[in-house]
Amino acid sequence: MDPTTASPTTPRQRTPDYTLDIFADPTFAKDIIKAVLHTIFFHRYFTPIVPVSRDLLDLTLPAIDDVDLETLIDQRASALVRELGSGEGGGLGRGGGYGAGGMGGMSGASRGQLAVQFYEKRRRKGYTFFGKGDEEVCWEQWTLDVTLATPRTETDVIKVRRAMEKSLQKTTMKIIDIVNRDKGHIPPITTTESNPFPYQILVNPKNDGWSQRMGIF
Amino acid sequence: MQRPPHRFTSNSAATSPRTNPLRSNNNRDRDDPAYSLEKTMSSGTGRSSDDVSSGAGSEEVSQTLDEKMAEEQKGRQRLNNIIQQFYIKGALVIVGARHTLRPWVKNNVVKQNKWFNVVLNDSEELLEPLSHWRSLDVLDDRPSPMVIEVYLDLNDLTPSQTLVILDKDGQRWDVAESLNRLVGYNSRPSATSRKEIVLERWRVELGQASAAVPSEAWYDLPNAYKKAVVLFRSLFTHTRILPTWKYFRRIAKNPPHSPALKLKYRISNGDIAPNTRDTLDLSLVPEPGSVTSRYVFEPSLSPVGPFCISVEYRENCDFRVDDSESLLSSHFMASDDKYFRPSLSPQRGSRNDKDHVPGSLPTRRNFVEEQADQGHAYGSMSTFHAVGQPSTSPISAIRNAHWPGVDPSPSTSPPQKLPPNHRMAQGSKSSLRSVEGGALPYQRRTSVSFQPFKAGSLASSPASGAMHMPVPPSPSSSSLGRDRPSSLSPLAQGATGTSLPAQHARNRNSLTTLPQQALRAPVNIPNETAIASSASSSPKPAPISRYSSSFSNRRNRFSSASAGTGTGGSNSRTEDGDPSGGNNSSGKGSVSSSTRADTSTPDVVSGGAGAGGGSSGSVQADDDNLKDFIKLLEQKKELKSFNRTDERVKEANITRTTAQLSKYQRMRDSNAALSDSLSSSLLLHRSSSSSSRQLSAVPPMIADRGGSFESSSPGKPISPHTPHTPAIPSRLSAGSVIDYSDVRRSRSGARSAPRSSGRDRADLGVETDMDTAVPGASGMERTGSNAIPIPTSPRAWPYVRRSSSVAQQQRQQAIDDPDVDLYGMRSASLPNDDSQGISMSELVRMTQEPGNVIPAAGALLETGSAADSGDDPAVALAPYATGDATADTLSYRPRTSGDRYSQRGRWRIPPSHTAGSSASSSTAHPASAPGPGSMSSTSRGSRNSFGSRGAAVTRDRDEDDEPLLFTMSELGAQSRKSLEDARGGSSSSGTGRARGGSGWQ
Repeated sequence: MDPTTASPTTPRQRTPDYTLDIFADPTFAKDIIKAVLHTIFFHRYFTPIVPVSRDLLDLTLPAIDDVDLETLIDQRASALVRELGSGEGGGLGRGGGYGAGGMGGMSGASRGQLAVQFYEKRRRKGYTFFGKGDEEVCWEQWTLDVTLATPRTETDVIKVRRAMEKSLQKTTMKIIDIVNRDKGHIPPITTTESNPFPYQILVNPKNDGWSQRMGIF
Repeated sequence: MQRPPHRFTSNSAATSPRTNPLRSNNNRDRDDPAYSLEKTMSSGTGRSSDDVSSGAGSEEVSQTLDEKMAEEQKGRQRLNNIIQQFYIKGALVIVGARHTLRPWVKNNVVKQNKWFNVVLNDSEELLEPLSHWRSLDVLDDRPSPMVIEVYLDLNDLTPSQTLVILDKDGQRWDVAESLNRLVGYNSRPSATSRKEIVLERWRVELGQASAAVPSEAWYDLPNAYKKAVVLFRSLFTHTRILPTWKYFRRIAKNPPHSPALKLKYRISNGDIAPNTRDTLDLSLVPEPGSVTSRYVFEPSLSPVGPFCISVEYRENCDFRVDDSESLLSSHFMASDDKYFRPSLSPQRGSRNDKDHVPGSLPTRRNFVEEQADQGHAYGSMSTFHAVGQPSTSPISAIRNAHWPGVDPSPSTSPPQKLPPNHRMAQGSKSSLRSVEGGALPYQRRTSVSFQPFKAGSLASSPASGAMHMPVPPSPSSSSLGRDRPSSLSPLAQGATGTSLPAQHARNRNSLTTLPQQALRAPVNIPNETAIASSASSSPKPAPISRYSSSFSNRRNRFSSASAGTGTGGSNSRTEDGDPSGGNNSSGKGSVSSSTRADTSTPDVVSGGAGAGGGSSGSVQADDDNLKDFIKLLEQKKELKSFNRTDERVKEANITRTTAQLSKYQRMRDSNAALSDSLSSSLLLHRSSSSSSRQLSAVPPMIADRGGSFESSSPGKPISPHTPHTPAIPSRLSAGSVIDYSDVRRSRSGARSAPRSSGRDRADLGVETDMDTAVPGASGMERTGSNAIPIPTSPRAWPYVRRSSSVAQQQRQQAIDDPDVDLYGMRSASLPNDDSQGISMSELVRMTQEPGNVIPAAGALLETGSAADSGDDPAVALAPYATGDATADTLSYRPRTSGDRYSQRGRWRIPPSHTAGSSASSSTAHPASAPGPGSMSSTSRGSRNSFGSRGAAVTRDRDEDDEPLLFTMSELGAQSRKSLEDARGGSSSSGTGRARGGSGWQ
């Protein structure tokens, strides 16, 4: 129990990085990405909130009713979708820069990544790069691997839609499992007035290696 | 560390006030005992209090002791608060997701429970059930687990209702029956005893602490609290993923009146009453495997033990409340959807084939069921409403469920209010709807929204057909589709001959997809794909007719010009119809034509040319329409309110429609004959027709129709008949037909659409009734006589006009006037598009109208009169009045007005209609507006110039487009002007004038 409180993540300690696979077609890509982001934040936004939910694809998912956060999520989701499909018809070819790998050519599938990072503010000099003063240390990261599929036929449309729905529900359950399973690394909450944990959403972060990036910020 | 807890406590304090009555008292009471206990325990634990107390000898020590005591007390209180809140919050989250908890208002303030940073409204309702956990003291004794059962109580059903569960195949199973069999409930005893089915069992408990509870357990409370935040957040998320949530959500979305079994909950300490069988894991469906699943949340650690939440839930919660009869029927349905479909209607079969066929089933299903079952079509069968709804795909059915109320509301201004685009969209939607359900707007809408294109249309159309069988509207759509299809198909084929049909079909498919499909289906039968297009064309024809009429007028005036224009528009394919239709068609076609045009160069071109502006507009309109449809779908919710009112109207309409239907049916025969004759004539014309001639002829055809319908465009009418057939084909071929068909479909859909169309028709019918003289209006009535064909055509026109008028209601009025003129005038103005469309549409209409129009009219009249009149009484009246003024035109006008009404009044259907109409209108308007009035001069000139189709076309388009834009932007003022001009030009129609004067303007 205390480990959490004490020092969630020691500097070099591994920062948990959870990968979520998201499957979507161009029509729902943005909504699905937003829904997943909202679901993540719903479990990581520690200020008191009035839980709200939204329907998507016959699923009901939680959402954060916070203008700033909502705007950020919308922006990032849009950016990723833009990179993914570079439009609607798109989808083909350009995978988002990252991780798309060879998907581009494949039946209109393209890939992109979104990284959500949560930080804690530390005052210690710590092991981290900056000797003194406040520093923000990433204590958790979520990686969204988004695969965009562009159905070509009506039957594909139906299949893709079902797959999306299934995938989204699975992802949601995965998030629920993760947040309940791993609670020990959540840094102590030192304030209730504002969001205790700064966050960041990166679109198609460089491959550099998530694992390393801890100190960068 | 302590501070955080304090914060929490503070929060708890805030929340606790509620519970305070119970808690504070309890706590305090307990506190004392607890304290003593604690001391003892602590002594046992070997810590503080005793030691401290022992050392209390010295003052200092005593002070320290007191402080510690106080602190310990606080800590204990905090700890207990957290544990208590753990249960309370758990209950709030779980029950809140399964039952609508009334907010607890105290002093005008809604009490909220902010514990664990999840802010929920507190509920007084839970005070009593939670009293045990509200007052617990963890250190005193371990709280018993809290078990929340969510269940359905069969005793809440009325005797006539049956709770059924759907298996994976959509088959229904009687739950009570299963209960009796498996549990041994007696139907009798059950009435008095517990007769329920448990869907979920939640278990919230505090696990055993791994070690003795440390006295300073509260020190770590902040951490436990933090973790609990995550737990409850995820609990909130999870409650909305379980199948029971979907049931709850579906029930919540259902109309208030719809039969539904609400979820109940029961909070207990987990003790199961003796002699009761747990129904959670009862298998209600003969399917292998466990019927339940289990999810266990990772325990959230706390100083006093892990917080544990788990749930066992039933995986299949697809429950419905059925009428006993419906259940029986559902069984049949389940046995074989296809069989049923065929029986219902051939179309259905096709639909069914395409999709699951929920549609066919839907009809059978009860309203409730339908509403309840989004996907299932069964419900509809029982009632007409259902029928209307059934027509749509399951989705549509679902929507319908929501929509039902919408229809009435739709009649309200909404459609009118809708911007041109909306109208367009609506129009398209309407077209779709019309195609699908023809009879019921709802259906149409629904169909559109859901699977607009795919099964929906087919299913819907068939359904509608089946549904409509009784109801005129459906007949119109279905009958028309059927009857006309053959005739139409020939026409379409002949007219289009070219690829256009296919394209049209495509376009239509996309746009009106379902409706079109339905139409197509019928059509297809005769002519294959082309047929489909033709089918679609049939609907289109009506729109076309409008255009054609307008164009025809123009043509009449500009006979050569019209030909030229027609050539421009129609050149590519059938010069005949195309010219006139070309423009019009282009407009209409624009939507469908956009695709079509592309596909069939000539036709397309012609359409484009004719459509010119219209085409562009049409194309945009198509896109807009699609968007609009989507929007409409989204907007459905709004409609709901309307729906409610609509339902009443619907009922009234239904009765009316039934009566009218009979008339329509009669009409059908005549119509069929007419259609046959028309088709034959068309074929002849086609073959013979020089496109231009045909075109010119087409206008006449239109005129004829109009003539028959309206005296105003007599000249046109006269020539029209024979020419019409050719012209029509050409128009159809122009592709504009397709668009028109779409539009028409939408229109026709509106028309056919029981309510919308019914309303419109009703309006029309009323008008016609009013105007007895009005051929079109009277059409239904008239249908009885041979005249029927004419009426149909007029109706078609009116429809077209209506659609156009509807599309731009305001504009439309003006437009309508033009339209009216169109009937006479419009054909001229719209000539290109209209002519094409008209010819085709007319033909189609002719064929269809008998069935479709009339029925629709009848239905419309009924529904329309009820709903529409309600919403737009004045409007309707105005149209009627105008209609009265000009009998034929009136009829047309009525239609237009009706369309408008329907569009306006009709939920949004009008919009759709309007949209469709607007689309058509927009296209048409552009075309028509320019063409007819101002356009007529310009467009005419252009058209004349069109002689060089390409250039002319482009010009026309530009001109048309601009006009359209203006009309759109200006609300059709210009269009109106143009219309007026057209009217004036056409002069033909007093009716048109009358309309303009009357009211539209």
